[in-house]
Amino acid sequence: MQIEARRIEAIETTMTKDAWIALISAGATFATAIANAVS
Amino acid sequence: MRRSIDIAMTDRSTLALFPLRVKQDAGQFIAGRPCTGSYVALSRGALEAAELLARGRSIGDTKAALAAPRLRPLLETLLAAGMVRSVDGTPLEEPLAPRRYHLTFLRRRHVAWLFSRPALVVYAALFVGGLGIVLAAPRYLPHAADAIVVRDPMGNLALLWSVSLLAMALHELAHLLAATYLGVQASFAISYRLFFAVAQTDLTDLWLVDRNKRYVAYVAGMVNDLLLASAAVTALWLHDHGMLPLGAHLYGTLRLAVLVLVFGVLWQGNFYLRTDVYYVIANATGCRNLSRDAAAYLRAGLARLFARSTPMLPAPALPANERRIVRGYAALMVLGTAGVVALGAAYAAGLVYALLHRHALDPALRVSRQVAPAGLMPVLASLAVTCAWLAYAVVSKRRRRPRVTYRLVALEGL
Repeated sequence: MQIEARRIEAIETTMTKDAWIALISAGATFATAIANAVS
Repeated sequence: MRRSIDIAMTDRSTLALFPLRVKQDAGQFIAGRPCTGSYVALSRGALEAAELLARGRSIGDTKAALAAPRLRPLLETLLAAGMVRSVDGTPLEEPLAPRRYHLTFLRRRHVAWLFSRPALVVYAALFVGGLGIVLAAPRYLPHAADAIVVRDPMGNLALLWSVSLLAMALHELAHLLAATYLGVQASFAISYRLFFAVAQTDLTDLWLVDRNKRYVAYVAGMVNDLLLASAAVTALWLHDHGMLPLGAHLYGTLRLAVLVLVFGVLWQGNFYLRTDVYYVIANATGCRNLSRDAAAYLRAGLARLFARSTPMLPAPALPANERRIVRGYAALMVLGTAGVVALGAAYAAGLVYALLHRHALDPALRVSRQVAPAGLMPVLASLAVTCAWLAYAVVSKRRRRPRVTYRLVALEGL
């Protein structure tokens, strides 16, 4: 009989407080691009 | 201090196991101790072996009963997971610290209404309304300038922090409420992903929930963010159409909230950092150790590159389809991490340049201080808090590491 055993990882969902920092430039570009495309 | 303890076993050895909760999952069984947050995936044979051992059968008897040539991998896994209470009557020290749960007074009946059909209809209407407003009037999309609400840089920073912390708290609360709805408890912690300071909800007991239902807890945070952003956009629209008077500061704060919430959801796209989207992907693919296996694959790859001796994927070998997924994820992990590190470095370099060079030399920038939160104090204050957050998270994570590790010593083949 096959005997397989493995530990499995913890489930830890997250939210950063710094998303605005890392994505602020990308977000501004994204918003501008959409605004340009729509207008 | 972490200690390594040798555990001697023979075929005549008997083990006592802690009570385990077991759940069938995709052809295997998941067994765990919620009180330590430790879970293992077992084949049917491994589960039967664990049950025989728990009933007091010796290792040799168990092997004979199941016609299994080796139990060693199972024994090592159970030891590492802190599931063995004693060996040959000698109690073992608990390797894992006990878990603490939060908001344990909450019961399913308290939160069920949040996940009822009428509530889902309200959520859908709110989201469609917010989306409709943004599509019809793109000026409601978040913009970098929304980060500026008041002119005083320190006041602005305090507002930004307040909104960010509130958004984080509600995001994590949504995960916990969803877990409560699914019948498991959860806990909050301060942690980090790469260089990001994060709030974290430990939902490990979701392993005891049906695979399809786990999605509810995984997406609850992002759904909460989008609904709050939709509500804020709707309030802004109502104000602009004379139906909801908002003060200038409240109006600006709502725009800031939309920025923080939407960027928070976008940040979840960094799934290689084990964000919420990662757990959705891991659940959909059925890879229970996707991140850990990918990291092991990359480490083995690096070792082979330099030492040319280690196999590409360490034991245990994965099924072919899972191996493909792990390889793909590992590639995305490298690309994503490199990308976000480059972005972070560029941001930091830009910040340093603006602060130390241009700000000092270009008097024109003093004018821009009226519209940008430039200035040394807010940035230093923000960095100090973030550094303290990260330092606490690192120390806290180290404290949660196993206090002892067990090394199985056997004179005969187990």
